[in-house]
Amino acid sequence: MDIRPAEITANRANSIVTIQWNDGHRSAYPFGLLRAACPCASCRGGHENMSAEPDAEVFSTVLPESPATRIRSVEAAGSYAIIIEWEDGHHYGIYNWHYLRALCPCEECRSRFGEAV
Amino acid sequence: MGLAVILCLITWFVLVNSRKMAPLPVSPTSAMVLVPPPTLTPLPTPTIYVSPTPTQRPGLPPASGGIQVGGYVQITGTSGAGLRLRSGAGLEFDPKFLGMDSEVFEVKEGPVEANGITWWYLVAPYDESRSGWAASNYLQIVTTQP
Repeated sequence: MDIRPAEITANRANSIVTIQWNDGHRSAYPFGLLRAACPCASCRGGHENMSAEPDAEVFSTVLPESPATRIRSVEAAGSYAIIIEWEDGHHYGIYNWHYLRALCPCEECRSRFGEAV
Repeated sequence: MGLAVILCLITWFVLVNSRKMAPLPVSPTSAMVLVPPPTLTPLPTPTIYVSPTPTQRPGLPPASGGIQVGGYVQITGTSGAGLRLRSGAGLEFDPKFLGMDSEVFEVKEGPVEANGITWWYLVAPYDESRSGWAASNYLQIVTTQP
């Protein structure tokens, strides 16, 4: 099954992005997690560090509330990803569906993507 | 006069030879077969909602810990081990499941003091069955009550 979001909601009142997936799963991402896991080459320390899944340490990274962790807009990138623009102007990260699913912080998804529990 | 005759001869020569040029051969079994591109079926694009910017931003948590009922917290500081969410507020209660670092929960009840720990009752925003009491030591505020 091609797993993809059916609906994406960025709630700026509680700073949480919620994704309803087409397989029935539901993910909730704090804005800070999405920014810490920005998949752009600059944030990941160069193209050589880019991979299909987020680095494990992003889950334990806590970013303080700031323009860097406030979402200005979310736009679809074709039918495979979203681009998030942050209030500090950063908008280079392309979050594709696989990456976002791997970034889901719930226990089930963390187990699936290799994080020790 | 002589120049006009020469020009006429050149023109006649060109016209006659152009008629003699054979058309390009077309093989009935051409080596090149044009394959039409497949018709792309457009993939569905998810519906994206971005809520308007709140007029009064929730802001940073108050200095006294700041967790409050109705707010959202995320688990942090477990180094990947996860935080046990328990069936009651205290270490004597059984763990129900592990909450993972960065996992978000809504605060539904609390605080309760037990075993020298402050406990909050948390519910996952996407699955109400994923709920339990958690020690505040490993909770980070995402937002206060909107």
